Amino acid sequence: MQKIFLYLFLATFLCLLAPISIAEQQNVQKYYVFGVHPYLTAKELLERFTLLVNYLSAELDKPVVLRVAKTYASHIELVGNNQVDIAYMGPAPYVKLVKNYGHKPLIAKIQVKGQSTFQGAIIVAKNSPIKTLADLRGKGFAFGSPNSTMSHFVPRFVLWKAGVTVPQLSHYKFIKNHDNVVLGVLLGEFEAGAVKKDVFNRYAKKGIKVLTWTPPITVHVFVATQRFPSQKLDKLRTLFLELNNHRKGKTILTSIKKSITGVTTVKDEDYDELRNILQTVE
Amino acid sequence: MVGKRALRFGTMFERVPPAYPPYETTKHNNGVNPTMSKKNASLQHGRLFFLFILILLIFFVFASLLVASQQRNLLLENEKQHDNLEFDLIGEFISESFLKNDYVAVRQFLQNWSEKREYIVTLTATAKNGFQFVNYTRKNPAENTYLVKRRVSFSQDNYLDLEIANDLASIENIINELNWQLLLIFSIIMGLLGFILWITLTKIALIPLEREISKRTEELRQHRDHLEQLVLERTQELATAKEIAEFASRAKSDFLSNMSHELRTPLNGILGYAQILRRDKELSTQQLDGVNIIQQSGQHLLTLINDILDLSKIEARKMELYATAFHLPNFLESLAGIINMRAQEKDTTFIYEHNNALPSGVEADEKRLRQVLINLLGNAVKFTDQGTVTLRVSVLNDTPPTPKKIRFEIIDTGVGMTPEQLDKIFLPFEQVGETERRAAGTGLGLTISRQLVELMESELHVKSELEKGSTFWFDLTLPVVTAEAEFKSSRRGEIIGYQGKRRKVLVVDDKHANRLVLHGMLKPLGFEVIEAVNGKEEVEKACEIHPDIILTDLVMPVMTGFEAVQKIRQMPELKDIIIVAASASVFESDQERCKIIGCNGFLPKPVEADRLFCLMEKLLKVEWVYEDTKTETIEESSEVGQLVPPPAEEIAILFELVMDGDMRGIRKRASVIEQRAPELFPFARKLQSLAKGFQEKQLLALIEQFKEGGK
Repeated sequence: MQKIFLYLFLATFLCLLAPISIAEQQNVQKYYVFGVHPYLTAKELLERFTLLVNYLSAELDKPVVLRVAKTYASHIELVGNNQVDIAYMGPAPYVKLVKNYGHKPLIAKIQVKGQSTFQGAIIVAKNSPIKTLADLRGKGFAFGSPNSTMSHFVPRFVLWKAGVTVPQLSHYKFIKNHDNVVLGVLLGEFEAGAVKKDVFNRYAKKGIKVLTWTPPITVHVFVATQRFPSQKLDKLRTLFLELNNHRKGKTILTSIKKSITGVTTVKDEDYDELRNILQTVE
Repeated sequence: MVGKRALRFGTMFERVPPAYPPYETTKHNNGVNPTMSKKNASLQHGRLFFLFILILLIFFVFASLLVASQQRNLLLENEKQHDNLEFDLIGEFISESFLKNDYVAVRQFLQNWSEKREYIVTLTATAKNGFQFVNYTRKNPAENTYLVKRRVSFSQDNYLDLEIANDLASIENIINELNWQLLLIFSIIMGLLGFILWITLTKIALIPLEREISKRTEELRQHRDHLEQLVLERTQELATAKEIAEFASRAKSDFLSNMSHELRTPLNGILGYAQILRRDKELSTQQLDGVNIIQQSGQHLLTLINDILDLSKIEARKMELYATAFHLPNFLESLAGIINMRAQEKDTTFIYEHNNALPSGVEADEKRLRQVLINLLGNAVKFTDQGTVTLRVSVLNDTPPTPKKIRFEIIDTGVGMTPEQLDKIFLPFEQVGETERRAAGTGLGLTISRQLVELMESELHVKSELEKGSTFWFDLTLPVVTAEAEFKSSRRGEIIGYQGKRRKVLVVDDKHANRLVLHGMLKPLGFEVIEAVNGKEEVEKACEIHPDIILTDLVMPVMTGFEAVQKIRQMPELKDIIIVAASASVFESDQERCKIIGCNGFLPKPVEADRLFCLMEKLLKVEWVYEDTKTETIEESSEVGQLVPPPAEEIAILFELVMDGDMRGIRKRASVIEQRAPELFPFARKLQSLAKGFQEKQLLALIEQFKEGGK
């Protein structure tokens, strides 16, 4: 088992460095590639997804390797161009993917604390004089990644809905991730920022408060590409759904993210709300 | 000016004596063998080395402490600087990251950075608004920390206050480690340096120094030798001078002794014959007066000689006291008798007061005590023309145990002295009073008396008032002993012979005059006097005639008296013979020697007839026959100071003579009265003395007293 682990690790590393053509050849021949967007460091992501990849490798006819895209955009591109077989995607990238590359076979969506939606919040410093969203006009605002669902698109929509447009802010900035947003607000660099709920929770006691919660958005989704053999799609969906009951299922899921409690079936319509938001924002 | 000064210095240097070292410092160099000095040198080297090491060690310790503390501060400063340097880097990173709004990265970095540095105990990064951006605390807390602070500005109006508490222990550990290393290096350096220094000192610096020291030592030694030479020379000079002085002193003493001896010898003739002549009944008053004058002058001369001799003895500190046991009351009474006689010659009353507690036997130098008392009493009588002279003897401590403290007071109602005179009386040859009184003494009496009293461990006091009189007194502490009253040889009149068989007396003297004196004294009393001129003859004659008593001179040609006595004592048949040494020698040693070789007595020259008779009475047990035994009792019973007047017809003649102012006639009459009866002798003497002084009033008073009494 350990040998396999090591093997996989080395393989993944090679994959990361290998030119795409070689990877394609290899994919065709030997592996299924599992793509992940770089929401964490490659190393961290490798650790988190190893159990899942191992599980899939064991259950599928070919071993599965992990591929962490360099950027969110490239991740979408890879999935859209069918350069990976299976992918884990955030809701906004998924909406973008569909918009740009057409529909992809959906496998399953995750459930966080029993729910398959998640929320974000617009936060301000605890002692901030800002009481309503309208007060944000003329203030600095921190967003996470420009492609981030909960640190950009959704809160931006919420602002828009409250009548606050981005140009009305004194300044705004994309500062990569949720933690930076929270810290930026805490440090006083930004009057407000947008973060997802669990990140807020982590810093809730450090001196921030919620100005407003965002509407719930369907969570992350596992998709397949057209490269993955279509005859095996059902098998793949089953494998994922079986994680809820598998003896190692819980461990596999929580290793990806602690708050994940299970997986469930997914439909494209689940993302309409978000699709709507994104369309509006754009 | 310069020249002058130089000259002055030059002379100064010449005059400045060489600085001789104290004797001790050079002492050990003198005559010490080389191994000893080598040993000393090595010992000194050892001491020097020890001192050197000690100084080095102290320096080392101080230096270490200084360096250690300096090191600590330096290290701390260094550490702070190092932190600051790191902060600079961190600050840049923070600014950079904050510009990119990558707060997480900064946070993560600071966290990791702190964890990697074990010495960081806490790290806090606080934003301007008070938000604690990072709050890192090490798992194990530290006791002592030091803070490093830095503010990192990352935007126009925002900053992070970084505060790091560093563990001092870790730095102290580093300091300790460093110190140990330092110590080691320092020790090595010091050791090497010390070694080099020591070698330099001993081999290079000390050798010339030692050479210099030894050179100086040599110089000093020479100086000292020179000095010693000088001292030796001076000592020799002094010794020679002392010898000369001693020789001179001895010569003086010898001269005085010899002179005294030589003067005594003719005096023996003069005084001897004066005594013999005085006994001659055929002499007229005028002739008797002449003899008396001869005797008095001789006596005076003798006193003078004796006084000078005594003074020279005292000055040479050769005067010694010979304490003997004697009967004090008898001694004082005999003294009183002598003084009473002198007092009666003048219009002076002599009173002898004594207290009953007087011990009978005491131990003292009888001769010298007598000398003092006679001197003081004699003076008192001399300076008192009318009134009283009192000898008062009292015991001061009445408690029974010995010794007794006895006070002798001589009180007169005479002329007295002024305070100026009082100051001078004890000086030799100083005499106070009128010229006529001065003639009667040497001026040495009081000087000698005071010295003698001081020899007796007492002090002679005097108080005096002009025209009122003087009082001399001294206290003697005398041990009380049992002493029998000696046979009292008091004057009972003229000795005219003795009872019993005829005694043979051998008189030995090389001088004819001396032999004649003794012959003249003894022959009229009925002794058979045989003469010898030296020791040899003495022994021969002694063997031949077996005398009852030998009176022998000591210093004689052919054979001395000492040798002769020794020879005689060695002969069995002569060993019990009575021998009396008669000598003008003034040496007590001669008297002692006489006793040792077997003389039975000592008779000083000039010979006093009374003394000779007294001695013979004691030794030969002869019973003297006096001129008139009846008068004895009268004189014995007569009270001291009471004059026996002649019959009324004599008083009447005397009265007439006084009224006529015929002093010569009174003196003639006095001689006649003197012849009449011995008890009239004092009266006659008084008449003589008053008439001699032409004291008519006193004469008249004396005669009228008896004339009226006679009525």
